[in-house]
Amino acid sequence: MINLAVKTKKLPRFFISGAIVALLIGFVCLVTIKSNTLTPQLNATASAANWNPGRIIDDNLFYDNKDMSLQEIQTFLNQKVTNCDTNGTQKYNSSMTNAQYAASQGWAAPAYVCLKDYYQVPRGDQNINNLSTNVIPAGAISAAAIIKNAADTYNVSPRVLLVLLQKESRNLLNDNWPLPAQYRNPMGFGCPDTAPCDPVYEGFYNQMTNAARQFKLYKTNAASYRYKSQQYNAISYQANNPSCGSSNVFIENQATAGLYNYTPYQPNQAALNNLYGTGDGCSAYGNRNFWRIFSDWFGGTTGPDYAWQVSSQELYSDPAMTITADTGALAPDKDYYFKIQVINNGNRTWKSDDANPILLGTTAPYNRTSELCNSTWISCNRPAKLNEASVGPGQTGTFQFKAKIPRTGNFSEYFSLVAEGRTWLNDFGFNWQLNALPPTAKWQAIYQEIYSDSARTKPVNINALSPSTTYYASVFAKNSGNTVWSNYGINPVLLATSSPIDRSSAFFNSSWINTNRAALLKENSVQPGQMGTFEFSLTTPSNVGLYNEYFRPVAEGSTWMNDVGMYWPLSVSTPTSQWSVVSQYVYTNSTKSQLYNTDATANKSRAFISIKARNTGNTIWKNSGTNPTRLGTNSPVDRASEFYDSSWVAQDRPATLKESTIAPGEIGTFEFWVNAPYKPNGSVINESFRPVVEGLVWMNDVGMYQQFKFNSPSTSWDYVGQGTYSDSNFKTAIDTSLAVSRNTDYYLVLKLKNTGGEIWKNSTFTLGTSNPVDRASVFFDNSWPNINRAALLKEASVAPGQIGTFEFKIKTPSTVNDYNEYFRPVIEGSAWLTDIGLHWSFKVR
Amino acid sequence: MKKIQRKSTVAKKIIVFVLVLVAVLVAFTGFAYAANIWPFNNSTVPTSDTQNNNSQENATKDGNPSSEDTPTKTTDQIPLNNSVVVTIDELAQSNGLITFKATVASSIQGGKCSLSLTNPNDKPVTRTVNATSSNSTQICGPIEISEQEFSYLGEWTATLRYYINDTQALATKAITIK
Repeated sequence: MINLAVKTKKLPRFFISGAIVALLIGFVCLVTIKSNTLTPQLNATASAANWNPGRIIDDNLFYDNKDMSLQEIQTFLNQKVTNCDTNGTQKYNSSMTNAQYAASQGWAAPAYVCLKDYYQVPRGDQNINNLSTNVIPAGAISAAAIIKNAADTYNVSPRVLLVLLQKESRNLLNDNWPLPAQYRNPMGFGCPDTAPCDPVYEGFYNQMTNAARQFKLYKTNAASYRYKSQQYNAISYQANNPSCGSSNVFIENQATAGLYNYTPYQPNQAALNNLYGTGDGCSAYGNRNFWRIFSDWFGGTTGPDYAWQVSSQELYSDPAMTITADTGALAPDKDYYFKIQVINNGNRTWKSDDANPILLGTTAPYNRTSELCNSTWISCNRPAKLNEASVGPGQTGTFQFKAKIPRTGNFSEYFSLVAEGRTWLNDFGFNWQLNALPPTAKWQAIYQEIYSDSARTKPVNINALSPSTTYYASVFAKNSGNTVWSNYGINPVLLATSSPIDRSSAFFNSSWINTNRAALLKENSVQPGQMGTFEFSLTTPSNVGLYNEYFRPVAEGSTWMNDVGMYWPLSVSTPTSQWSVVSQYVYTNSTKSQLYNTDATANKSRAFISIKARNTGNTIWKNSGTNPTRLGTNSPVDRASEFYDSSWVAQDRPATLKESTIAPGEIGTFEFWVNAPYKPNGSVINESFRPVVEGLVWMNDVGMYQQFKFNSPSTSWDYVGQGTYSDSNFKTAIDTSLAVSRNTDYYLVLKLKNTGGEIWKNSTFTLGTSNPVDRASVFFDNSWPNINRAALLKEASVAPGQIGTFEFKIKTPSTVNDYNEYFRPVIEGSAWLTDIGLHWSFKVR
Repeated sequence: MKKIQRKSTVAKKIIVFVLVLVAVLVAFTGFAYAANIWPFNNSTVPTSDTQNNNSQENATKDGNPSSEDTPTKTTDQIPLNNSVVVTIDELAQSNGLITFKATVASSIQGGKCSLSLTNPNDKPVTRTVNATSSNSTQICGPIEISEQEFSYLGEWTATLRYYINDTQALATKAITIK
């Protein structure tokens, strides 16, 4: 009994325990094995009741290539596979790893590259990737980048491409150890499963690119494809069984037409009844799955018919809508111009003139009568209609209207869009907060400057102004009030002295309106928000010192504008004319294209000098008037220069300042020709210059000079004159064009100028026979140094630039004939001088 | 009393056995549902429709019939066999179908026929069948494809590639799809 009792008590415990264990095992199996397949449904938003075969997805979603960034795509892929089994080491089942199982099936060995880690060189003709090796090839880009590039190139949503990939591929998105074969045709584009694939379709890059391109083609050449939007299309339920039939579907948009062109079947009711499973023998799933996956992942495939958002909201004070008005400081009873740009976020195209035109309507409450209403409005609750005739989904439309603020105070004007006669669009409380203030004249100082020239191109250093000198000032002021400035009428706007107001200015000159009104507004009128200008000249006082000159606009006869503390600290100091050299160059020409070699200055050569000088004083240099600034010769000053050129102002003034004025701090220019004097080779001349304010003062001597080293050819000379005489005193000239007697003495003279670099000396400088040189002359006389040397230089020496003389006697030959007797100077032992064809002609009779 | 006690023990055993049996059935039912095995294996994963009904949205490697058979070469990597002549005997559109048939002049039995209809404006339409032997020729087809799969309306090029012994022979023919 006891034993039995014991058995009867133990048996139920055993069986009950077994039953509990069995139940637990069953439950655990249910939870663990099914958990993966249930996961997608946890976030499911698709419901068969929402399936619309004519509107699988809206165009604005399908063609939005910006709906995911590259990083967002990568993150999405990362989330799909959190633990990639690259090496195949994870358990396939209790006895094998994934790699072992693959080997048992004859499949590819690791490495297994998950989509998030996939890289491919973006080429259509070669499939170069990191499959099998997991080594990223040079030039390869990620799968996410391939998707993003395809989306951007063909204007298709990256989300759409991801969903297509999910529905067409062999689990590539979720697979944590995908085989290379799964990358072969993951978009179902043109590759047979069990036959070789055309290389232009094979591989992830080609598949993704071709699929995206295809949807672009469906859109751009819509009329060429079987399934068309905005019409009824017969769409079958099943691919392989025509008896399953079809139904006429009105395709509402291009995206849906494209999906049917890509996958030409619709799900039947059985497929919809089991949204996450299979239907019956007449079920097709492609487009159902696209819709379902997109809905689950991205929250729905369609949007509202009518929706909008504000792109920009502006208020202007001018009809041209160029001057932005300050909504917080508007003027009452003045026209303002309102502009809203809005984006059509719905699926319907907005029209401005159809049965349900899109209008701007007052809200809060709806159809409120606005205080801003005027005759330009459609009605007092409809300020404006859509500017554009048509605004499609995703496009931007515009509304514009004019209104006066009727009185001072705050106004909250709420608006929304309405498809008139049909529906109000989404009301998100769009409004203008407007505040009209009593008329206020206000300004902001935007820019102020004082110039040395009336053209206002040369700002001056206001810390070193010269006494009794006229300068030119500009003030740019923004109209920050809510009234219009004008320069006429009973309240013209002027720039007046301030601190204290109406102060008589020490800088007044006759151009001012009076001693406390520097300038009238330059523009005829300046709207609120616009910029106005005051321009005036001012003359510095004769007394040196620091002057703080305050100014402030005034609407004359009405009101002073706000004091923003605008002033110039003007420092008037003793006039100083000073300079420093910035640069000096010597050129061969006035176009300054080629530098002159001053180390080889040739006699009488011309050179063009350009000197840049900075005005380091506090006076303005001018190139005209009673005291023009010039460059003078220096060391000593007013020295007559050997380099004088006829283009100079005077022998001691090479040039006048090139620019009309040079303000302190600016750089002026002196440019002039020099004409080199005759100097023997090796001579060095330092030619000094220095600016002078003519009639007033020489500027500081900075020791500036230009050095010239002379080096001229020794063979150059200039012909001066020649003569033939019958007497040795060279008194009786002979006309050699007439006949001369035979065997008779005559006396010849030649004058020549030394233009070379050598000093001629009578010990070596002779007149030789030429043509040919050293020819024995038939006119030889015993007085000659030689039969081929007619004479020695008469002077002991002739320097460059000087004139030398040859005097010699000839004896005419006994033979009657016409003779041309040629000569040429020669530096004995050194060089023949230039042959100029010098000769005497004789008719010996 | 003893008799009564014996009857009570037997009844308890029966109850316990029934409980265990029910528990095992519940456990198996749960497992079968979760693992998609009988009797719950009729809920197969739906097809994508696009890839000739072969690929599957959530298919595993085991469920994918082409994992082992997926060719590793592309069409340009398979040498042409010039001694084999392929003739497209039929390529027509009628009654909502594109029908195709070709013969291969070869006495070698077997081979695979891959039909690809292409157009630069559309996604290629492909079908692959095994060749059937008839006397000294191999027959590809007939193959019937719903005209709805040809979304571009215009001229398409049909290319039949016949694969045998790692070589291929091919023939092309044009057809205008309406």
